[in-house]
Amino acid sequence: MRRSIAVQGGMVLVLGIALSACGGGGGTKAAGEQTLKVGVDSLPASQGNPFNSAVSPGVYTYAAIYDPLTFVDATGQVKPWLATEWKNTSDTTWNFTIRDGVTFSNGETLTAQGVADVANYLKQNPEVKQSVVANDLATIKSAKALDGKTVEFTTSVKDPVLPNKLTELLIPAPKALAEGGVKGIAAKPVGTGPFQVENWGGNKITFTAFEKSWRAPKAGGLEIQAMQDPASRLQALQSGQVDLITGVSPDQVDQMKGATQAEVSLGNQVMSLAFRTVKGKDPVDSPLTDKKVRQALNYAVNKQGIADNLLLGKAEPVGQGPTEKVVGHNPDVQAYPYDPAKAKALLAEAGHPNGFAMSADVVVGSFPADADIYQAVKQDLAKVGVNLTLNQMTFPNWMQRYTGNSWKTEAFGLSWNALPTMDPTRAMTNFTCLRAATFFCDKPTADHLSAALTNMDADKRAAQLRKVVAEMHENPPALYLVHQITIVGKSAGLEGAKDDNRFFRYDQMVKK
Amino acid sequence: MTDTASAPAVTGTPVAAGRPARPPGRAGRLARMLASRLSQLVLLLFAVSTLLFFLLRLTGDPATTLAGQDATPDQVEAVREQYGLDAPLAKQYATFILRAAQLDFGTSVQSGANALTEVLDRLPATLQLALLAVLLNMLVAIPFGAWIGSRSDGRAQSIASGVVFVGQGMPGYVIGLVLIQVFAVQLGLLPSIGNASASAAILPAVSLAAFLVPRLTRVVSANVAETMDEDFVRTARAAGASRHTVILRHVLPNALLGAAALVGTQLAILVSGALIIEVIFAWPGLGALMINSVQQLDFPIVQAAVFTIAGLVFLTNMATDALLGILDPRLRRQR
Repeated sequence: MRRSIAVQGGMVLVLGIALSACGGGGGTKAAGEQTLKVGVDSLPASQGNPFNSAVSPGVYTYAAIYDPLTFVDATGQVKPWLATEWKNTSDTTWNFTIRDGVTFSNGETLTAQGVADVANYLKQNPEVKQSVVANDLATIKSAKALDGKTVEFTTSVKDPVLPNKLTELLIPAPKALAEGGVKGIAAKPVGTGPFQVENWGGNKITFTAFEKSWRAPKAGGLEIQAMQDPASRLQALQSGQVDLITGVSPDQVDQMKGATQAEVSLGNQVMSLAFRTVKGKDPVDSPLTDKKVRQALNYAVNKQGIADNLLLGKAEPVGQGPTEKVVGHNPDVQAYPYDPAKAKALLAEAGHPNGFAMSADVVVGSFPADADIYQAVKQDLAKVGVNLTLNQMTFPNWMQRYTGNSWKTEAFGLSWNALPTMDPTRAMTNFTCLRAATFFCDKPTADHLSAALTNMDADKRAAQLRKVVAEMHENPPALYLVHQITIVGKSAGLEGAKDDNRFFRYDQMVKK
Repeated sequence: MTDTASAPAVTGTPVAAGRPARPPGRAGRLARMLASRLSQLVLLLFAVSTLLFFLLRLTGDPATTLAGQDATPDQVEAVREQYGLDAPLAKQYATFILRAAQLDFGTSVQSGANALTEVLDRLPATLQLALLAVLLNMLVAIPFGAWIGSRSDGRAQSIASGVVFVGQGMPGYVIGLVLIQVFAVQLGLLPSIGNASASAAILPAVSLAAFLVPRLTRVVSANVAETMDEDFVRTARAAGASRHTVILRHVLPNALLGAAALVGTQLAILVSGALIIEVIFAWPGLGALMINSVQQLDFPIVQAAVFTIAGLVFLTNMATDALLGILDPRLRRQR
C-alpha cells in the first residue's frame, strides 16, 4: 500500500515533467511562427477599454492593439501615427490628416469621420466622459470630419500642445464602439495595432497577428502574462518562459547575464517630495512655508549618492521638474549640490538651528528602489536635524488625499511625470496655485505658467516655461530628487524590443 | 413505521395529541439539520458582507482612482455620482444588501463586467489548485505520518519527525520560489507561470502541499502512535497479525478520523488563502483577482469574491462534518 502510494505520487510528477518536456521548444522558429511572450506587472484593469488608462501598465497591452493619432517618443518628438500631419488653423482649431489605407482588425477602414466619432464619443458618452483620458483631454470640445481625410478638433481654450495630448487618444474601431459601446470594446477590443486579441483570460491575453495592420508584426502571435511578483517575472525570463519583462528592480540587474539582458533607460519622470505650504488659499502651520527651509532640505540630500548607490549610476540628480528631452527643460538649472553645512546655515537663518520634525505620505513600489530612496532622504535630513517620519500608504489612499488636498503631513511623494505627452505643464501646474486643490502657491510663478499654457508660439512658450522652471528651482515647491530610470529585462535573442516611452513596438519584435 | 406516520404534529390527529412526541425519523433529522445549517450560512454571509462593506469604505474612495491623478474635484465628484458613491452610506448599504440577497453584486468599476461572473470565472482555477494540493498532501503525509507514528521511538523516525517540525515553519512562498529556481530556471523541466498545461499545476500544487504536509504528518503520526498503544492493537498482534497488517487495517482507519478534520480545514484555508502562491505562479485564480481588486478599490469584485469564499468555506466545513459522521458512527449518535 505504501509502495503503491509512493508510486502513484511519483507517476504524477513524472507525467507532468514528461508533458512539459514534450511541449518544449526546439530551435528558433521562423518569424511568422513565433509567439512573443511578455511578462508585465498587471493587465489593464479596464480590459480593452482604452479610455481608462494612458500610461503603464495599461499601455504595455494597448500598444499591441491600438494606435493613437500621434506618437510622442522618448526624445520628445511628436511623430505622425494614425494622423500623418496636422496644423493649427485658429486659436482653438486643429486639423489632422488621417493616414490612408489603415484598417481595423474587424475590417473597418480608418476615416476622418471615424476618428471624429471616437473623439466625440469620449467627450459625450456618460460611461467614459469622466474617464482618465477624457479628463486629460479636457480642452477638446468637439471633433468633426471636414472631408474623408481631415478631422478638425475644436478646443474650449487655446491648447498649444493638442498634438502631444492626442497620443493619449487610442482609436478603437468606430463602428464597433458605436454598436457595442465601451463595454463591448472592453470585452472585445478592436484596433489597428499589430495584434488582435484571441482570448482575454484571467491573467493572460493571447493575440494573433493582424497581418493587414498598417504596422504588421513580424511574429505570428503574442502572449501578455500578468505576473505580479517581481521575482517570479525574473525567474520566468531566466527560464525562457517569457521573452520580455517590465518592472525590473535595480537589484535584479546583476542577475541578468548571458541569455538575459537588462535595458536601463531614463524614464522622463522626476521623483520628488512635494511640500505642502497652503491648503486652498490659506497657509498651513509648517516650517516649510519659509523658502529658506525648502532650499535647505534640497541642499541636505545627497542625490548623486542616491543615483549611484540605489539606481545603478544611471539616474540623474535634478533641480527641476522637466527632464532633458521635455520642452521647458532649463539647462542652466542644476541640481542643488549636496551641502549639509549650507543646509544647516539656511535652517539657522530661518529660525530652526536645531532642525524640526516633519512627516511625509509616500507610496512605495511606484519607482525603482523608491523605498530605499525615501530611507536615504530620511537619513540625510536627520544629519541636518530634520526628523522626517515616512507614512507609507496605498496608492488609492494617496489618491484620495491628493485629490481632496486632505494631507495631514508637511510633504508627500509626487513625481513630475511628463508621460506620455512629454509636455511638462500638467506636472508643473500641480505645483502651483493653478491647481484646484492647491498645496503650494507662488502667485507670480503661477501667473507666468498660466501665460505659457495658452501661448501658441512654440519657441516663446518654451522660453516662458524655462523661466518658470528657474523660478520653481529658486523657490522650490518640492524636494527634487532624481530623474528616474526604467528597467526592462529581455532575452538576448529578442530583437526590436524598444521601450519608447513605455510603448513597446511589438510589430518590430522578433526572436533570433 | 414511516416518518410521516410518526409525525403527530403534522397530521394533527386527536389520537396523537395525548401521546409523547416521538423523536423524528432520519429524514426529519436531516431536514432539521439542513435548515439549521442553511440559517447559519445566511447569517454568516450577512455578517461577512456587512463587515466587508464598511471595512472597504474605510480603505479609500474608488472615484479618485477612476478619475485619474489630474482630475479636478468636479470630475471626481462626477465619477462618484456615476457609480452611486455619492449617496449616503446607509443608502449604499441598504442597496448593497438587497442586491446581494439576489446574488447581484453589481459590475466591476474597472472592467464593467458582472462582478459575480468574474469571480466565478476564476473560481475553478483556485479550486483545482486547492484540491490538487490537498490530494498531494494526503498522498505524502498519511503514509509518512503512519511510518513515523508506527515506531515513534525509532531513530530514523525521530530524525524525520524533527524535519517535519522544522518544515512546519517554512513559508509556502519560499518553497515556491526555490522550486521555480530549481525546476524551471536551472533544470528547465517545469513551467512556473499560468495554467496553460497540466504540468503548470505541479509546482504551485507542490508548494502549497509543502506547507500542508508537515501539519498533517504530525497529526497522523501522533494519532498512529496513540492508537498503537490501544488494547485492540495488542490483541491483533497477539493473534498473529503482522505489524504491517495491523497498521493498515486497525491503526490507520482510527488514526485518520482526526486527520480528516484537519484535511477539511486545510482545504477551506486553501480556498480562501492561497493568494501568495497564486501570485508567485501567476495562477489565474481568485487570489490574483482579489489582490488586484483590493489595490484598485474595485468594491463589487471584492464583495463578490469574499461572499463566494465565505460560502465555500462554510460548505467545505459542512461537508467535512458530514464525512466525519459517515466515517465515525459515534459522531452520528452524538447528534
